Amino acid sequence: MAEAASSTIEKNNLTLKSSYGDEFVLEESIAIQSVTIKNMVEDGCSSSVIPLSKVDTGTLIKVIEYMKMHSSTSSNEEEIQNFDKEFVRISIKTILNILEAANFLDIRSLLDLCAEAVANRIKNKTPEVVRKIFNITSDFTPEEEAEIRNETPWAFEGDLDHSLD
Amino acid sequence: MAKRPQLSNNFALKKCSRRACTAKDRISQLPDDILVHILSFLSVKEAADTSVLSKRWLPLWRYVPRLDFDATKQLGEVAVHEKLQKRYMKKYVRWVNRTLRMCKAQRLDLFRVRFDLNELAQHDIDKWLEFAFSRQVQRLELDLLEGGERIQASDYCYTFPAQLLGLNHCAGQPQSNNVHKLPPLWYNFKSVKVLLFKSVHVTGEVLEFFLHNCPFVEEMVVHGSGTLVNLEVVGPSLKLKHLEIWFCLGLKSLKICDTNIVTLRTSSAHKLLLSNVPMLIEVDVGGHPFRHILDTIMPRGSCILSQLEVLKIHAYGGLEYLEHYKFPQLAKLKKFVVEVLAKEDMSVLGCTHVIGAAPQLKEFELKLLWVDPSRSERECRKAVRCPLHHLKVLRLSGYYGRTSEVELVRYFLENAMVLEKIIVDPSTQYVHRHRVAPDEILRNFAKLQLQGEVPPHIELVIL
Repeated sequence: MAEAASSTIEKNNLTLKSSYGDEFVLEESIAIQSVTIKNMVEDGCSSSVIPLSKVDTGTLIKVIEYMKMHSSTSSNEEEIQNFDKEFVRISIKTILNILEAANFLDIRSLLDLCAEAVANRIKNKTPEVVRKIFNITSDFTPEEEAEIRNETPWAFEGDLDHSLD
Repeated sequence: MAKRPQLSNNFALKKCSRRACTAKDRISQLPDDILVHILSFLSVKEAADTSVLSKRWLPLWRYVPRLDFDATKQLGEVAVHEKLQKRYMKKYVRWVNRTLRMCKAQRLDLFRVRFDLNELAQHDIDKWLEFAFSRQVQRLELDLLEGGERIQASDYCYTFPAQLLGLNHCAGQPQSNNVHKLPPLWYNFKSVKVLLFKSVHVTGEVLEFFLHNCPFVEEMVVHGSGTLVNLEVVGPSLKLKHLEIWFCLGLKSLKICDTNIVTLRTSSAHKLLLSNVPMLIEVDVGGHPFRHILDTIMPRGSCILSQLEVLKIHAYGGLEYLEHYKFPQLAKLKKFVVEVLAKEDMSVLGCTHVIGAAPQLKEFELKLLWVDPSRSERECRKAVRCPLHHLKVLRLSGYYGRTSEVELVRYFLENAMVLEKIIVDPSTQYVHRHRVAPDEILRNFAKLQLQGEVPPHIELVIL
């Protein structure tokens, strides 16, 4: 009896293995939100342990948390929206980790969520601030930078003075 | 003392810059397509601003497949200072033109223009449309409202170039002859999913062309087209889910039959012919005279009202005649919104006749548009008693505290057994721009007036 029960559970479960070697058991129906995993399952990669060499343990835990919430039938749209909002209230480093994992695992909605969260941290900020937030070092000379700013087509600022027609 | 903070500041700066060198610039290491995807959540201006970050970022924004030409701040300035319009229109047009010359995206998910533009920009906007269609645009939005909020005067309106679709305008020629002609081969309209035209003269012929030639069109929004006369949305093969025809004053007929439309919004309900629309669950209608609206959405023998889940009506003539109307059961109605003019102390109790016929109603909202509202000394009238078993939320926008509003609140307090929340917004609805009384006074008035009426187990929120 016990064996039969465990084998039926086996059938529906997958084990995801992080790059650190930690293993997480997850229902297949939840895991296949990831197109990458879905393809692996369909291609008969049947050993039921799926090695995710590009995803570290901390990131994998977050990804699983997301997939569980988004496959839950008991939560309504509003709850999921609130979950998403809270989900990306984390450090930029963590968001980028999840973003990369979502890209690798091919989970479109999670990729969008993270990409938008990153975009929101660029919005309404000067380039100097954006560089600081993301540790971007400018490799332009001040002259080059001035030239690029000039070339970027935006009509409304800086040219107000000489167009009083 | 003055020196020390400076010293430590310097120290902090050095430390910071050293860390910046060693800390990883993770984001710039992401592949191009992901960075472009991130940028696609920004407006054109915001995305273009990232070109200055570093050489890695310089070319990326040009590949973003979503072009949202957002200039909300400048549009707001035009709305306040009309004199700026001409100068700002030129600047906006120049900005879009320059951007399109730099754009390298092969396909466009979104092409969105939203600015106070008129026929003086006809030639440029024509070119933008060519650009968008040649890149298989999916979502096309041209919102050219005056100051971002009003319909342009008809004489100045930009006209959608029908010739772009291979439709040649010949006066007197019957419209239907052209509908199935092939468009010029070099444009691809097949990918269009969403079309939005505000203050754009667009004909029924053009709209029907899109309906019949673009297999994926699911949303169509037209505001203030002076050249829209007849529109037929007919046939089960259409994918259209949402249709919005608002303030198209020349409209003579809007026929929607045998199709799977889900939501409909129109201010021309009196021109509407509606039949066999089994998927329709949300209707937002206005029109004049309002009586016709009811005849349209509930013609004899029709079950349209009984299938609706959300009903919004704009009844500028008042609600009195509703009291003389016999409503069929609105069996599925969950949300009912009434927008009405707040004139003197005109009664709004007419809406309770609809509410009483909707046993599943959960949410009711009254939106008042002020036109000389005034409080009178008259006694509160009582509406017909009718227990409401599901009504939980009552929202009153533009609350002024007239007897007519208080009697409506009392109606709900008496009949809505599970009422949880009353939301009162005393300050958002104006027909005229000048304010009748400062917000704070209105808010306090509403509070004083309603706190005495509303029992403590019902949450009273005054915005």
